[in-house]
Amino acid sequence: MNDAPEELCDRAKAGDRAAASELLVLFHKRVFAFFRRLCRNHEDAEDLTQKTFSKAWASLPSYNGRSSFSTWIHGIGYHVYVDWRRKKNPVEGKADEWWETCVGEGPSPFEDAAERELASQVYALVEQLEQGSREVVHLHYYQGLSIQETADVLNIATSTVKYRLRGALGDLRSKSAEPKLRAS
Amino acid sequence: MNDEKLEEILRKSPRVIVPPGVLDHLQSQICLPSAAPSRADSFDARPWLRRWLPALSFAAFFVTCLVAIGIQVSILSELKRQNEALRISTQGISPLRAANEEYKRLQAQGQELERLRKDYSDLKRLRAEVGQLRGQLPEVEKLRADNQRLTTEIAARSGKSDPGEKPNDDFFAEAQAKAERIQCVNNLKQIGLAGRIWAGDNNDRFPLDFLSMTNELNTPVILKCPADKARSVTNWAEVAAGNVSYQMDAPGSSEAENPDTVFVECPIHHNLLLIDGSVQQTSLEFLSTHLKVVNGRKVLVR
Repeated sequence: MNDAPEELCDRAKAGDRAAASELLVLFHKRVFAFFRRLCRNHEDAEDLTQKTFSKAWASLPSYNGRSSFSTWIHGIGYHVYVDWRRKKNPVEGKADEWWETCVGEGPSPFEDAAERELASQVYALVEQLEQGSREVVHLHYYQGLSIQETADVLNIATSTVKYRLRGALGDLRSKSAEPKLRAS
Repeated sequence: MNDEKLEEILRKSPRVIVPPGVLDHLQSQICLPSAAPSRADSFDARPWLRRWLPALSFAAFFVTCLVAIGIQVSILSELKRQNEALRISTQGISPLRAANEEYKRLQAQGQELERLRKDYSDLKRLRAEVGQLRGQLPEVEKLRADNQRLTTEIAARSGKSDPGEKPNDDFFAEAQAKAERIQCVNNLKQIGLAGRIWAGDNNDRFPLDFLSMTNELNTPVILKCPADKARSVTNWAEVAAGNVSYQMDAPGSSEAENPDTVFVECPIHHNLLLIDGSVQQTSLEFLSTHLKVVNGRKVLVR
């Protein structure tokens, strides 16, 4: 269980099912969370997670270790998400109550109710960002990928990632300054 | 809210709880590909056509090249053979060429012979005519004697015997003299026309000499009177040398002058070209009474 993902990957390539199972244990939560935040429902997130890992197992021989396994699996997941979005064409900017319930449940990283409320509204504003900026925010801030890893997943330049992040933060800042947020 | 606060909130995004059973479901669906084959195995695993495609392509190209070279060699050998055949055939062409030359020479000789035959027949015909005319010669002599006798008789009967006057025994000579006089008048008319054209381009003044009218006169031949047997004018060089029958009496005269001023005259026939362009046929006796000199110009007084 202490093996690095790349070693597990090598073993899985050789047909080791246990190694593949360990990889699942390591990454299924992050992949599921990625889809859950993007798709906004459990069913689609489960479905896309399943598809992502199916493709990963099929493409395992082509994984050459040039990027980390995390980046690689996020890349596959991103393409799966793009295909899903193209077919399903979900309505953009739809309000997601899950963020509010999520933030309100369990042990919260936020100290008081006011801060929790503010965070809830920021998360809702993220979902209203443009597609490219929204995905960059998800990968970099929610999934915890570095700038370089985000760029690798989206197959864009790091400068583009930085540009989109700056734009996203600017949008969030300006929108959060609107009366509704200020009143909160 | 500043960017640091925003980033802090974003990084503290709520954790997503994976529903129970998802991991089990995913683990049950693990479907790993068979163990990665070696390079040699993967090469063998490819379809036959894909494995052999490069070699087959090269082989096809090579065979195409060979076929093209073969066709070209075949064409080349055929051309060589044709060239050799043509070379052999040209060896026999020189006798043919010589025979052709001989044929042409004989043909030319035949034409020459034909021409000579024709000339000979003409010669024979002319000889016959000469013989016939010689036979008529005594008769002509007799007729001439009769003519002279009759003329003498006519003169004796009319009582106008003039020993200084030559008997005009040749009608044709008289007719020829008349024709020459008319031709002389014609020449003077052409000279007059040329002079007036020249004057039209030179302030209405006639030329100073005949040589000035080389552009206006068609030919220098008209500057010779047909009765002037001592001269022969065929080109302008002879005109420049003064070899002209006619005499220019009023060189450089103006058209505004007396229209009866004599411009050119014929010393043989005494024909006068006046500056008005008219030609007057006169005689020596007429001129002695009607030709005056006014201001250095000969003027015809009518």
